[in-house]
Amino acid sequence: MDIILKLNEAFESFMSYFNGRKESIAFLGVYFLVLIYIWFQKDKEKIQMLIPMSVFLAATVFNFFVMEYLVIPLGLDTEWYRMYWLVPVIPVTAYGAVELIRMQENKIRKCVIAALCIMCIYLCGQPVWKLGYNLQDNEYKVRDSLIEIVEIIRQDRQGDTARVLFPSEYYIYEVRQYDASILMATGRDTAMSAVRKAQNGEEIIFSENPGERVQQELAAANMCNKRVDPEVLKADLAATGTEYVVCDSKTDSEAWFEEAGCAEIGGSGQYKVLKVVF
Amino acid sequence: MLTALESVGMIILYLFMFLAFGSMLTGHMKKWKFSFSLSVFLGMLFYYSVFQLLAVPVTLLKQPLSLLSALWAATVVIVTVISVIRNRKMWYKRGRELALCSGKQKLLRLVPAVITAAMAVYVSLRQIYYLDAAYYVGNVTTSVFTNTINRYDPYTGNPLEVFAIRYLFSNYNIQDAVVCQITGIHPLIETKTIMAAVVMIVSNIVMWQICGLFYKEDTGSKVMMFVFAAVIQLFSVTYYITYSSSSFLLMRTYEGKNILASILAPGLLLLFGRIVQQPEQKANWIFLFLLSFAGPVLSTSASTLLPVGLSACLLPYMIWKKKARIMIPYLCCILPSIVIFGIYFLSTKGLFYIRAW
Repeated sequence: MDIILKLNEAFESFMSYFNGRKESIAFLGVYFLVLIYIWFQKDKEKIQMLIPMSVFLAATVFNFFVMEYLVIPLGLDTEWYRMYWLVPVIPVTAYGAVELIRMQENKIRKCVIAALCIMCIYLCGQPVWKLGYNLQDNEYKVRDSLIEIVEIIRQDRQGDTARVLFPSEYYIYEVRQYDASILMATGRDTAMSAVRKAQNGEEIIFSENPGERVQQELAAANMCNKRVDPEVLKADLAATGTEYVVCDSKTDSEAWFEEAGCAEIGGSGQYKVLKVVF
Repeated sequence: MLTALESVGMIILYLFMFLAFGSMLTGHMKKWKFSFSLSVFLGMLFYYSVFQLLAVPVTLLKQPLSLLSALWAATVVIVTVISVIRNRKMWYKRGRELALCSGKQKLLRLVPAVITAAMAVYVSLRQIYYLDAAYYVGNVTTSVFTNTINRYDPYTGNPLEVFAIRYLFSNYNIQDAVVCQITGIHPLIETKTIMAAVVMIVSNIVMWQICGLFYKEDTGSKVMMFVFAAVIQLFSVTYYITYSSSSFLLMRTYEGKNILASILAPGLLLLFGRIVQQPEQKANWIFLFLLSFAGPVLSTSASTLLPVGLSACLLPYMIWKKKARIMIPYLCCILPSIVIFGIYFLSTKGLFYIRAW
């Protein structure tokens, strides 16, 4: 009885891994149907090519015992989904559709079956246009405002590089793709964690590390309109060697940064570019 | 407009370089019908494999990116010139054969070409934001700006104390940096426009070749299968970007992960299929080795995924065929990934590190 309960628990855990990722699982069902068709078709080459491989994958990497007792405990489940790419779902499903059409004797029936296949594909999956399509703003595929902000800093700076504190997550991970002469006070993940916590209204526990803390201070000021002690801010800006700060003008953050020794040199949209002048 | 022309020119140049590299392998083989599309696919693998042989020593010797750019430019020119001299007659002959086929055949072959071009335009003009680009593109921009290889943190721009072993052997982005340094093209254009289109074209080439495994000379069925595959790609996109390689293909096209999902994994099926269909053609084993060697260059995840894929294909095949000697090429094929994964694993355990300065 214990074994059955344990098995059930393992199976449920395995299935929960699939939940939320099931949009394309229907194609996996079609894939298995086509494999059964290939088996009965007795085409030796196709059988050798697809069936042993699929059985091997099902018995190893997609085995729920492997998932439960090896993949999840080792913390590999977040990347395990990539193994799914090894299953040739797309070509095999397409082959199944073509075989269905080829089985028909006249052109009208072929057309009807082709239309039905496309309808099935539509029902099984999710079309790409549901995710929206943003045509590029410019040839660099970054926000126009980012280009303007970087240009203001380029015009103003003395050296080849400038260390800048950015407020929005988009700018944090986009800016160095556009211009590597812009240096950041802290890494992408730390900076974005600070921004997201502030966005979600979570309490910010200020870090001991000045690089992290200064990003948290900017996030608190920009997102939560939370005043940060100008003296602490000044010390952190100095400790991190920050030369420019980009503030959201919709909050009072600009005034607080000015109290900490920054001066406005320009802006783009809702953002103001401040220079650390102390 | 100039950027658009420059991008189209670079896409054509990439495909030509892949063809030149690939034809060095496929050009004069016995019992082998030359194929432009297969040569482009194999050429891409060969191109990145040769690049790896130059990039790893230059990186470990802490030499500037400009040295790698010079070495790579010379290598590409030499290989391309030799390939043109050696293969031009064959290209012409095969081109004539394709040109002389019937009007219906030509029209049929035009369908995959049009679909591929449309998909390439779709991904090239799309503005999309993904966090991982901060590393993939940031590393290219940083390498070009600092004239170094993997010695600065792409997220902050600060110098790294030690090399990130995880990315040391994944030199796909460094190739982009080399091209940007040579041509002066901005890394964002090189990665998100040019490479997006190149990867889309090569992935469709692989799909076309896979269709050929199922319907050898039946062009009509091949085209139909290709069209359905493209339709499925368009309809199997997921929000989670998990159980669908289509999500990567259509949204994160230029990334190494997509190359793994849309070129290397289907490429493994393609080459394994060719081994099954033409067991006498030993070259397919060499190409499979090439895929396993180039895999980790193009994507770090390939060093875990490809050995699993190779095992899934070759171990059951060995048992089916009752040929224990298949074990030798199998072991050779998984070796590059195992070595790279082993090095990475040891480094994560703190057993060694390599100083970046």
